[in-house]
Amino acid sequence: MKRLVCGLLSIGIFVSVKAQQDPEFPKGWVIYLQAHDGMVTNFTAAPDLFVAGLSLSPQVTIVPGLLRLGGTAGGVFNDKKTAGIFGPNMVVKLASLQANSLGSILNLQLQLEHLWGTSQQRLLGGLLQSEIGQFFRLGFSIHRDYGQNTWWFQGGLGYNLLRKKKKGIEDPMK
Amino acid sequence: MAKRALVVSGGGCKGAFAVGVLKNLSADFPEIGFDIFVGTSTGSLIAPFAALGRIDMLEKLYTSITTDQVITKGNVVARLLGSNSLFDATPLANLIKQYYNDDICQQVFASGKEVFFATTCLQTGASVNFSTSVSSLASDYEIMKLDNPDELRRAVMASACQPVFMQPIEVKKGQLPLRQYVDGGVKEYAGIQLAIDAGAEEIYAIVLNPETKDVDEQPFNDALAILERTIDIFTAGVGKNDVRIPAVYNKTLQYIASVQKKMLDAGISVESINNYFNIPFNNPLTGKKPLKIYVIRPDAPLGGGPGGLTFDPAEMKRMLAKGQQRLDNFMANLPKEADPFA
Repeated sequence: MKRLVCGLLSIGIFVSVKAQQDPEFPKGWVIYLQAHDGMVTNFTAAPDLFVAGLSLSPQVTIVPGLLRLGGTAGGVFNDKKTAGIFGPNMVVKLASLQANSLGSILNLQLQLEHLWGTSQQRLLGGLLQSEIGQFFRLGFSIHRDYGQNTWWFQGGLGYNLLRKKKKGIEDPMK
Repeated sequence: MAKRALVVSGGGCKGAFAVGVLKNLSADFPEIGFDIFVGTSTGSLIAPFAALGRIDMLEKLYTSITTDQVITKGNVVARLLGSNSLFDATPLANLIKQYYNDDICQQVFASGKEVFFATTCLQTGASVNFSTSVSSLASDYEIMKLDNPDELRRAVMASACQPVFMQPIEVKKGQLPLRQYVDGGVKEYAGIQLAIDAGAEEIYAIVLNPETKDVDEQPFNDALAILERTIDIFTAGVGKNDVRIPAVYNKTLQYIASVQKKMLDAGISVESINNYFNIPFNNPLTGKKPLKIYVIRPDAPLGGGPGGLTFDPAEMKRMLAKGQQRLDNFMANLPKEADPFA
């Protein structure tokens, strides 16, 4: 047991150190404004329903290069009704694409979340998405609505509202 | 008395080689003293401590720092859209502020040594050399005097900041019109000519790339790898010219001296010889004596990654040892008549 704990701790430290050498998931906050649409199905003969929504996801980096925690709040349109959704999420960086020794270009991340909806939705699922230039995300999501016994499949785009913009001349000596 | 100059080229972490050379030079020949120091890029980081004889500080700096203490790498797309450079050089700025504190800077100013930091001005495209003392040298270089420790630190930083990769620096903060400076190595990798123009007659130039061609047999099918390779080739080319042109200049001086000696041996008076050679135009050779130029450089590429920006303490310790060994070999193979310490 001791060995297992030591082994897991060593792996954890190794992964954390390796992750911190990756410029993706830097320290600080991101707030993604996301648009998404797709379908809701229960895999029966009943017609699938269109779903679309807009949400905000503020997230903070907990382990640079590896992990962010945050939440989602937004609205969805489904079955001719609108509903609010909200809940916590966790984002794990799976991989990143490097530009030789110059730095990174994008990362592939998995977002796990649980959302509650104002129309009895109970969504548990995840998003597999790519974050490009630390300001643009695109990907797809699968959620199980165990409150209404349906599956939600969506594609989405996101824009980081906290994206760093050029502020004139930088002075590293200041 | 003839002025002696130390010139250290650019090369990022390869500056450890120069520190190795200086370590053995100061240990084996403690009487050696330099009047002029010319640094480019990493050479500018070395020059102030070399002027103070603080090789211990240089050894500490060049055997312990890591890449993270020099630059922060980021997301390339985010930095291109939101910053002035691909890397953030704030860690290097902090390092410079820590090592080149006000006390050290004041000691450099008070040392009476002429220390030059080679930069390139982005606005004018000119080679601008910042200096710790007022220099009366007549040359094509633009010389600007540094007035306080902050400006000295900024000049060191500007000289070290490779354009595109690191942010340009305003050395004289608030100067109008705006002037931003980057690595002097863009135009001149090793300031041997500046040392000549500053009046040096004996020059020790530590050049951080080898004379031999740096052959890379790998196929280049990646734009970024081609970019990195292009920078390496460009730097090597600039460095080659920086050594070749002063060498040609010196050979010309040696040729003139030989002709003058032959004329003297043939019975022509000194006055007549001077008349023959005193041509009334802006002659860069008038009054100049043949120089002693010693170029000390590695036998093979030192490594250190693209632009010398991979700071690995273990590798830098090896570079330092190579510098020590190279100095020993260099001195051992120096012809007796050329040996300044004989």
